[in-house]
Order: sequence, then structure tokens, then C-alpha cells
Amino acid sequence: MLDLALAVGSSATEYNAIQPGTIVIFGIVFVPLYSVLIGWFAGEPSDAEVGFLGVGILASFIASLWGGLFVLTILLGFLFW
Amino acid sequence: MSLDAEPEDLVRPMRKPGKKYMIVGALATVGFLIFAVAYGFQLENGLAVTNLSDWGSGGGVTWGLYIGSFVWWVGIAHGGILVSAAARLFELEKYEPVARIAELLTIGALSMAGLMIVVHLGRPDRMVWSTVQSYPTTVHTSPLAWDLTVITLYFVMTGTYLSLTLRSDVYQLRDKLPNILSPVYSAVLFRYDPDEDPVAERMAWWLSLGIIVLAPLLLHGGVIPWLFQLTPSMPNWYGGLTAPQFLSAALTSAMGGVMFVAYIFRRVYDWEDVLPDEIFHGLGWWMGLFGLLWLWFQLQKLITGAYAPTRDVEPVVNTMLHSNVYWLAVGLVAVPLAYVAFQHFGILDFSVRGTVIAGVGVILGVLIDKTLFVVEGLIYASTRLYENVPGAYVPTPIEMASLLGTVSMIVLFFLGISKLVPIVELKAVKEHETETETGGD
Repeated sequence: MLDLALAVGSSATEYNAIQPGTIVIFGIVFVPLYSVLIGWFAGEPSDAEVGFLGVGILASFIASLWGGLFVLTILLGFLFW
Repeated sequence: MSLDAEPEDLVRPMRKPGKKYMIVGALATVGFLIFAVAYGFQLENGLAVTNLSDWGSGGGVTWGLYIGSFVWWVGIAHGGILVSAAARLFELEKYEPVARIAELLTIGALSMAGLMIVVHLGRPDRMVWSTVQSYPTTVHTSPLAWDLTVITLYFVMTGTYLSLTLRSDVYQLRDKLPNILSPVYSAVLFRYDPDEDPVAERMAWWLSLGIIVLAPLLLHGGVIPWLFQLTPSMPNWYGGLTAPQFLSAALTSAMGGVMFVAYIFRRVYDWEDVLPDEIFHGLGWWMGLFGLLWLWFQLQKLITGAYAPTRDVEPVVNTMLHSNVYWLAVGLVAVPLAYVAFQHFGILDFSVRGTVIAGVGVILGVLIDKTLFVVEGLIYASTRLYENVPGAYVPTPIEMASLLGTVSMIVLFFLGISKLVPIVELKAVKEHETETETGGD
């Protein structure tokens, strides 16, 4: 299955096929994140409200990182182009 | 561990800024302004002012100090959170006082790594939109998209970790914190209930577990080196040894970075009791160990490339062997390694300042090595297309100004954050209090 996935991934035009990054990112690199989320909600001790607060903090950091970058780069665009 | 500090000591940096604080702040602001002027000049006139844009026509390279610094900053960002995560996961109480400084170094250094990428773009205004638009397709095939993904993940997990561990401290020290920042503390304490502490502590533990796998194995020993080692046409980059080399360089420079920042706080706020000698002794030892690994990987690379190399590899290794700059980088790691080893085995007396200076040497050595690595990969490419325009690379003042700017911004970041939140976890002091009450060491 892995061989097949990597083989069909050799062409960048085959967007519908499973390609290397599909496995690398979603199958390997995200495993620590999956573990954290499972641990937060299914581990002991856990509390759904604090767990969702953690998810909210995660989401806010993504938004602030990429939102901040967006504002910075757009500002550079206005100033220089 | 004997920690002779009180909770009040932890808020000492949050009091009125002193003369040293103002001087350091002024110097860092000047550094930042130099960067701003240089970057403005680059945006106005294009990347051509750095000579990084003309591979194939004018010779030279397209990647240089900017990408070298990017790799270097990501490496420094590494150790920070690893020190903290390891302290939590493996109950290494000795390093707890330095844990939050290390986490903050991770956030700051990672931001500077991202900034080096933005600075290296010809049209940064298109960056976010083009990245987001193409992401659904590029994530499947592009190591650059993987890189952005993992750096985002690392940043977000570190920030969440810091936020979760900060809430309890802010709550307990609230009456000692400056009133002017009340809105910030209210935001940090959003829906805070002291009963959540055991759950939040466990959530931080899970994050430590995730980070301790993600950071060394998948980020600096994974996606960052994959940016280079998956390129067969660059013999200096290609091959499985690149990842362990990157990781060892990252870990050794990161230990140096944590020691340096901790030492500055120790000196400025008389924190000999909060950040005692044994922390520096331990971090110095780890720095030496990771430095030894880095040297060993260099040996592997040189012996493979010097004995019976392929036609592509030969010029790269030959250049390394005859480059004074390369040997300077090796020396800047090897001498500190020997120094901390001599201290550890009792041949030399232990000195905090000496160990920190050794750490600064390692940091500089890794910066030089990373920049050489990037440049030599491009100069000695396997493709013969540009053979007649080999060129050379010397960092321009514009690029140097950007590096100065990121260092200055880190300084400003620490100056600012140390006024905002306690940079040593309250837990480190409270554990000592408990130990004292029970007659522990």
C-alpha cells in the first residue's frame, strides 16, 4: 500500500491520488498532534471544558500567526508596490 | 535541588526598568532600525541588492545567509522547548527554573526563523495568499509546504504549552503583577478556575510528549533537512546524513542559546539563587555531548567525501577541507566541547561565565556551518548548466543587517516579555518550599 501510494505520488498532476505528502504530513508528522488531542480528552485526569479551551488556544495561535503574517505582508505590499 | 529563591524574586524583572535595561533596549532598537532601513532598501530595489537572485547568469548562489540564518534560528528554537518538555516529562526538576525562559526562546527564535523567510522573498506581499491558495495541492508533494505545516504546528503547540502553564502562575502572583497590564492578565485568565490546575498540568504533559517527538524527529531531524536532503542535484545536501547533522547542530546551539539568555537574566537581576550554577553545568554538559555528535557527523562526511568520492561530491568536500571558514566553524564547536569536558572531568574549575562564552562560540560556529552548507550546496550543484558561471558568495551588508535585526528583535522580545509575565515558573520555587518544609535537599 505504501509503495503504491508513493508510486502514484510521483506525478504532481495527479492531485486526486495519495501522494508522498499525504502520508508524511497527515500520517506521520501529525501523529504527535493526534496524540495530544486524544490525551486531552480521553486521558486521566481530563475535563472537556479545559480540553476545548486548549483547542481554542491552539486555534487562536494558528489564526494569530497566519493573520499577523497576512497583515504584515499586505502592509509591505501597500508600502512598496 | 537547593533553590534559595522566594516567589517575590520571580517578579523582580517586572519592576521599574533600570539603567542597564534602558541601555540594552536602546542598542537593540538601533539594531532593529538598521535592519528596517536595509530591508526597505531591498524591497525598493529588489533582491538583486543581495546578489542572491542571479544564479545561472551572474553566478553565485540564490540562497545564502538568509536561509542559513533560517536554519540556525529554527535550531535555536528547538532546544528551548525541549529543555522544558524534558524537565516535565522526565521530572528533571533541576532544569525547571530555566524552563519558561527556554519556552520563550523557542517562540522568539521560531518567529525570527519565519521572518528570515519573509525577508528572503522577492514579493512578500504575495506570500500568505499564494501559500493558502495552493496549499491543498502543494501539501501532497512539496517539502516547502511540509516545512510551513510543521513550523506552524511547532509554534502553535509551543504557544499553547506556554499559555496553559502560565495561567496558574498569573493567578497566584496576580497581586504582585503591575496593575497597568490588568487587561492582559484578564485575557490570560479567561475562564480560569484553580480547580483546572491538575487537568491543565496533565494537558501540558501531553503537549510535552507531542513536542518531544515532533521537534527533534520530525522538525529539525525531519522536515527542515528534507528541504535540502531530498534534492539529488545538490551533492552537499543530498543523503540521509543531513538530518542527524542538522539535529545535532540544532541541539548544541540551542543549549548555548538557553544558557546565554538565562545568564543575562541572572546577571541583570542578581538571580544566582533562581538560576544556580548547576543549571549551567548541566546545560553545558548537554551542549558538549550534542557538539560531539555534530563533530562525529562532520567526520563521516569528510571521510566519505575524501576517500573515494563520486565526481559530484569531490569538489564539495575538497572545498570544505581547504576552507578556513569551515575549520573556524569546526573550531568554534570543538574548543567549547573540550572546555566543558575538561570542566566536567575536573581538569578545569567550573565557571558559569566560561561555559556561557563557550555556548556563544557554539552558536556562532553553527551559524557559519549552516550558511556554508546552504551556499556550497548551490555552488557545487551536479547540474552542469551553470558551469561557466560558478561565481562566489559573500554575505552583503544588507543580509548582515537582517541578521542583526533578528537578533535585536529577540532582545527586544525578552525585554518586553520579562515586564509582562514571570519568566521563571512559580512551580520551581514552590517545589523548593515544599522540600524545605519536609526537610528535603
